[in-house]
Amino acid sequence: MPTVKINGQEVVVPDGVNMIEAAAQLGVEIPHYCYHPHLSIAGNCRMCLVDIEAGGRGPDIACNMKARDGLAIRTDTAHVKHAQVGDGVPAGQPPPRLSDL
Amino acid sequence: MEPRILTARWNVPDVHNIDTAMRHGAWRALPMALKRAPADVTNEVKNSGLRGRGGAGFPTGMKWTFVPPVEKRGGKPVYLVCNADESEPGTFKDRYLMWKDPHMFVEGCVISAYATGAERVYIYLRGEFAFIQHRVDAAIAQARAKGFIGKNILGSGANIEVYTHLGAGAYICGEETALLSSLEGGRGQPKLKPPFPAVEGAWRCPTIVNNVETMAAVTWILEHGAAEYRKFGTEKSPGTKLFSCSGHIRKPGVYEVALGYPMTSLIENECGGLYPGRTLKAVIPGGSSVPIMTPEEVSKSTMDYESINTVAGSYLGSGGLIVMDDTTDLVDSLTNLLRFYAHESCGQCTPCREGCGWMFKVLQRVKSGEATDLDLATLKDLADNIFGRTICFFGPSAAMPVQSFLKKFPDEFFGRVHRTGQVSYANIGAAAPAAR
Repeated sequence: MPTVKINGQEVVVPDGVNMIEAAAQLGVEIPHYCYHPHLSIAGNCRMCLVDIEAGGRGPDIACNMKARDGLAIRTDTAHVKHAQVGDGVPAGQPPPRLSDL
Repeated sequence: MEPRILTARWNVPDVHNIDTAMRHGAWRALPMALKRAPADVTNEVKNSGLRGRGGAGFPTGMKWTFVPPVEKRGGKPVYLVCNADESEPGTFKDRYLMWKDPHMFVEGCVISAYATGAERVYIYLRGEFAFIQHRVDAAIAQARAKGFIGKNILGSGANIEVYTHLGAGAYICGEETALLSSLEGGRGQPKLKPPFPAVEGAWRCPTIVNNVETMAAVTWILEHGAAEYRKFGTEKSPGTKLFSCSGHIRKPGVYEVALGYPMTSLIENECGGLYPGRTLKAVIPGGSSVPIMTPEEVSKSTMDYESINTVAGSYLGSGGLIVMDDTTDLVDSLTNLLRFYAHESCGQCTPCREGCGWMFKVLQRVKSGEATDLDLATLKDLADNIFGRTICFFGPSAAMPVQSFLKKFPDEFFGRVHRTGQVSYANIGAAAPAAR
C-alpha cells in the first residue's frame, strides 16, 4: 500500500495501481485517451502527461507510472496544461490554419 | 600524427578477406579476451571510458553491467544486438567501417557477446545496406570456418552465433527499442521505457544494443588495453571517433580523429576547408537531429561530448558533421529536414505524429513568403510541445533543429515573413539583436 502525493495531497493507494487510478481516488481527473484498465499500456496518446515533483524524472505519462512510495506528481502546473493533448491537437496559440490540417 | 585505430586497415587491399585481415592483425583480440573472465573483459571496456558511438554517448562498459545476473534472469538468454541501421541524415561512418574492415567489427561483436554472456548476436542493418550484408555475411562465414564463431570457440567453452538481419530502411529503426520491435518481426515502433532493453529487450529477454563503431573500438581496446586507449582523446571522452563530414567542404568523407580535436581544424585540415571565396554560416555537428551551431561556436568547440554541449548546447551525436557556407538558405534547409521528419515519424504517439507534419507545413508557408511572424511563434510552440513529451527520442530530434535554427538564426526567419509586430525575438526563443 504505497503512499503517493498528488498536487500536494497525500493518498494511500492499493499496490500496483497507476497514477491515473491513484489520482481518481482523490477526485483528481487526469485526462487520458489510450489508457483503459482492461487493456495493456500503450502510452501513445500522451494526454496523461504529469509533472513529477519527487521520485522520478518528468514530465512522464501517468498511465505507465506505477504508484510507489515517495512519488509526488502535479497535474495543475502551466507546463502540464500546455503538454496535455486533446483530440490529437497539442495546445498552442495561434493554431495552424484549417487548410493545413 | 593522426591516430589510426578504427581506420588502420582501411587502405589494405583485400582486407575484407580473413587471411589478409589476419596478416594485418585481425582476430588477435578475441583469443586474448577469451583467456579472461567475462567480467574482466567488461571491466577493461569500462576502464577505457569508451562511450557509445551511436549518438547518445552512454558509457559502453556501464551499459553491459545493466544485464541482470544469471540467477535473476529466470533462465532467459541474453542477446547482443548491433545497431547497424545508421539512419541519421549526415552520418555514413558505419557503412565504411563495415565495408572496409568487416573483421574488426565482427570480432568486436564476438568479444562483446562473450563479455555480456550473450550466445547470439544480431546485426541489424538498414535495408539500403544489402550490399554490405553480403560482405558482413562473408566475414562471419570465414570467421566461423576458422573457429572464431560457433560452438566452443577456441576451446574456451563459449558458444556464440552471429546473424545479420536486414531492415526495410526506416529512420526510426535506428532507435533501439524500435529496432528490437522490427527485429522481432513486428512494426518498427519504439516501446515504452521502462523496462529498458538491458532488462527486457528483444523477445522480452535482456538485450544490449551497441553501435557498429563501438564494437570495432572494443576490439582495439581488448588487444591494446584500456590505458593505451585513454592516451587518445580527453579525460571524459577517451579514444578516437569517426566523423562523417559533408556539405560545403572541399574534401567530404569519413575521417578518424582523436576526441577533443578542434572543430575548426577538422574543417580546415581534414575536410580541406570551404570552397574559395565562401564563408562559414553554420555547422550541424552530430547528424541532422542535433542543434545547429554558429561560426563563433564552431571556433570555440572541440570534437568531444562535453565541449559541443557547453559551448553550443548541441551534441556530438553520431558524428555527422554538416557544414553550411554563406550560400545556404537556412529556411530551405530546415524545411528539407522537417520534410524528412514528417515522413519518418512512426505515427505511434500524438505530439510527434501530428507535430512534425505541422511544423513542416508551417515551414513550407514561411519558405513561400506567405507566412506572418505569428507562424514563427506557432513553430516555436509546436517544437516546445513535442520536446521531451514523446515515447522515444524522435520527437526531440525533430524539435531540436527547429528550436535551434530559430534561436540562433532568427533574422533569417523574420526576414521571410510579414511582420505583424506581435512577435518578438523572445517569442521564438532568440536573444534581441542588441544582446547578441
